Amino acid sequence: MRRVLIFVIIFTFLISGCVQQKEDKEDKEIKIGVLVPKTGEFSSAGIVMENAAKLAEKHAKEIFGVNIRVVIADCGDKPETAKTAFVSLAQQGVVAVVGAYSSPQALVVADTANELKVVYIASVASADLESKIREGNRYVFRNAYNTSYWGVLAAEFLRITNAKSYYLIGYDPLRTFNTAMFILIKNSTKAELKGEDWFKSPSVAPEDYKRAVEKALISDAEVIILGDPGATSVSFVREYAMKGGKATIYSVGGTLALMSVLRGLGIDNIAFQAAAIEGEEKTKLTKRYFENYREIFKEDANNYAGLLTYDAILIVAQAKMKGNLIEELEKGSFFGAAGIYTFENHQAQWGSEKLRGSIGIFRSGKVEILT
Amino acid sequence: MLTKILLITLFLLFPLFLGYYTTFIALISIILGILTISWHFMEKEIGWVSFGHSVPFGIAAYLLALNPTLLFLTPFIFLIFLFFSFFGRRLFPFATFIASIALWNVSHYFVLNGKGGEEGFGVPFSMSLGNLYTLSMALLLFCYVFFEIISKSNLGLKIKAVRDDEIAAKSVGIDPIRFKIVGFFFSTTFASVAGVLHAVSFSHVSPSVFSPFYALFPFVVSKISFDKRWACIVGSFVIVSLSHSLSAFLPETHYILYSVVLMMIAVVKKNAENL
Amino acid sequence: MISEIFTSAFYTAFSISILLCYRVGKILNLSFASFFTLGAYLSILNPLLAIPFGASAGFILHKLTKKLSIANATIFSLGFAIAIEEILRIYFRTEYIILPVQKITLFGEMVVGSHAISGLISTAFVTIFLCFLLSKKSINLRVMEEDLELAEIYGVRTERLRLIVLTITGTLIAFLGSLHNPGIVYPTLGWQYLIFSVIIATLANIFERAYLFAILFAFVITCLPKFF
Repeated sequence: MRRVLIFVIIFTFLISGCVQQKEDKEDKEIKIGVLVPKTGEFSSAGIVMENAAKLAEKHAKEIFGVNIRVVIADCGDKPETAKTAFVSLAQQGVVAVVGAYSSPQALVVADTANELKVVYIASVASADLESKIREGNRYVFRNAYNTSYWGVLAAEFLRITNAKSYYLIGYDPLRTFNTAMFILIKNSTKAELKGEDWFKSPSVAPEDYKRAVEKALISDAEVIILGDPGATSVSFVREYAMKGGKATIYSVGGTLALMSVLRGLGIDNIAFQAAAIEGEEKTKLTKRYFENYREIFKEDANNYAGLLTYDAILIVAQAKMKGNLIEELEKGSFFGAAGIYTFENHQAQWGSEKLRGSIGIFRSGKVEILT
Repeated sequence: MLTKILLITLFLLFPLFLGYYTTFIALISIILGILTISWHFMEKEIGWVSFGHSVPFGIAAYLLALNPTLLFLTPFIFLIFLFFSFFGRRLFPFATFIASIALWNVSHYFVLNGKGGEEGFGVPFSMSLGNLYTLSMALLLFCYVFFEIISKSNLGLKIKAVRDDEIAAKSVGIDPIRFKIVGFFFSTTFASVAGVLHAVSFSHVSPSVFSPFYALFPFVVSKISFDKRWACIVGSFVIVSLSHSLSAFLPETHYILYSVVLMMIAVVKKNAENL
Repeated sequence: MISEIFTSAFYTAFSISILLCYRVGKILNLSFASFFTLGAYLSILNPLLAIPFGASAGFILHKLTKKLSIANATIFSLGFAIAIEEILRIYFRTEYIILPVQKITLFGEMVVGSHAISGLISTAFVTIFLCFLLSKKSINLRVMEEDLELAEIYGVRTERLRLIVLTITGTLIAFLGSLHNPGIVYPTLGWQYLIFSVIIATLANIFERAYLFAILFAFVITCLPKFF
């Protein structure tokens, strides 16, 4: 009997925890869900994505006159937690969901979006969402780069700087992404490839970047292209500079695109790509994003994951204002801090006249904008 | 046992009527419940503590994603555990944990026709949530009943005899290797079933299936469940609810809540054991 | 090579701490990941702050887990690790924190100053510990490793010994976190070091002279990536 009683109590507790309170209040505001990795491996990016989402909520009202409310959900660092968070947001009646961080998360969420008929805009991941769209998933869009655009930007950097040689350093846990990017670079540049190396996951070899530094030094390349957007790239750059490396480091962005990191490192000739760089005026939103972010959150604005999450929310707000969300997203154009977005096959047209990624280089304590 | 089965069935049926989200959370709990029960059998009945049940779980999920016909390989996954058992009981948990970490990293290299790697693979078929839930529920009940029956059967007694003392078991004519193989086979097969269900429910498999979360999940759940098989199901619901379901309601603090519960359960459990 | 030696010393100290907690303290101390991160965050203010904070964290962990079985204590340490990590994340609320590094030249090789100090501290810890192991005073530790109940029967003050082990190792890991961090700090920083050290500790634990083998494996595994 006692067991049965315990069982009933636990059962009631669990069910009451799982069942969501229904909101009686019918409000007119547009609810947009944001998947933010607040916990786990990517929690550092989660902070800026959340801040950017809050800023987008404010700007949607001030600039576009749309009353939106962002609903933040922690998508963790696994696809499983991202899906749960997505389903939870969908249950809360959001018109669309933006965000999620890693590629597996974006892929799982894209399938769920199709299943639940809720629009999802991938604002960070460069996963193979094209195949989902080809299979008929109309609910998934991406305002972030696809894999090939990362390669396009890197090749453009080599062209702008007239680099005669380059060296590729990939990051093992992002092998698929880096490999596709490297292939594109190799096929698009005339500069001489001095070699290719990969550093291992810090979980199995936390100091492997030191070995990669030794090899990079021997290569004597003019430009080193780093495929790791994470914290290990910082260790690499520091070690490389310490050992007297003279090459320009071109980073895919992420950690090495943050002003606070670059200033903290104080190492010259680190180039990076970003969706937009402070000082540019791609649209009326660019300056406002960077300035207001600093005013409110007392730090430099993030120029990729945060910025694109901000843009994704404003894209949804603008599209929803015009009418049917999917139809408007498919045919319309939308203002964002990175430029003016149009979607072709549900992918933002990066590389078009009105939407181009930026390349900056850190020199003497300042960022010089190259494109 | 019949009362327990009836109560568990009632417990599992209820979420079906509470909407998509609750059903989905319950589905994850059920799948991880199967994983936990398979782990629990390995620990309690066979006497081997594994920190690598994410290995059969993840391998089966990957096999399904790569090619469902490859699932015929899943019954052989026990061989991995059999190999590690030669290191002895004391080192078995660590050996299996290293295996799971190794696979977690190596799975980033699984690339087929330019797909896979860190992105993982899509699963070639899907099921509606209702159907998948019903199937998973049935499999959980089957798993529970199967292990209950096995542990009380003649075979179960022989497995336990090997667990308690291999030399003594041998002296009364029980072949320790044979019964160890049988035990490992049962445990890893059900862990593989959980992996397959997991892959179908997310329509995708990525290296995270080998992550320490899945390696440690059954251990944590089993220990908070007072080592009772039926309680493993409830424990699985508790941990999944805490680690997954509050992410959109308490995004800032849900993980702290999870950590506090983990600490409290460990202490409360000890006190309860002393009563 | 100097850099590799310091790194090996660091991983030796880390894995010996794990082994000590496991063999003597009867806990697989997963909190070390967060102790390391805590130390790294505290180094923003002053690396020495990691010492009292690490000691307190180790002490609290001992007090709250002293009556628990290995399994329960390990679960507790996991919860404790997540709690510290989440508190740091919520308190600092920033993407990454970059710490300044000082370079020094040792035997013609340029190394990070704080890593050199961490290497020296780790070497000192390992040396003192090995000397202790060779002394007669280590008998209590050995008996406790072998059999906790037997140790109590022999009059070993097991609780006191556990307290010492958890506090010293907690202090050491937090202090090493404040020195050996990569110069960029974020909430999940410590896990990669813990996982790597657990692998070393596990391999060493296969052998009877686990502590000695921890030194060997730390050196081999640290140098291994050079060949791949």
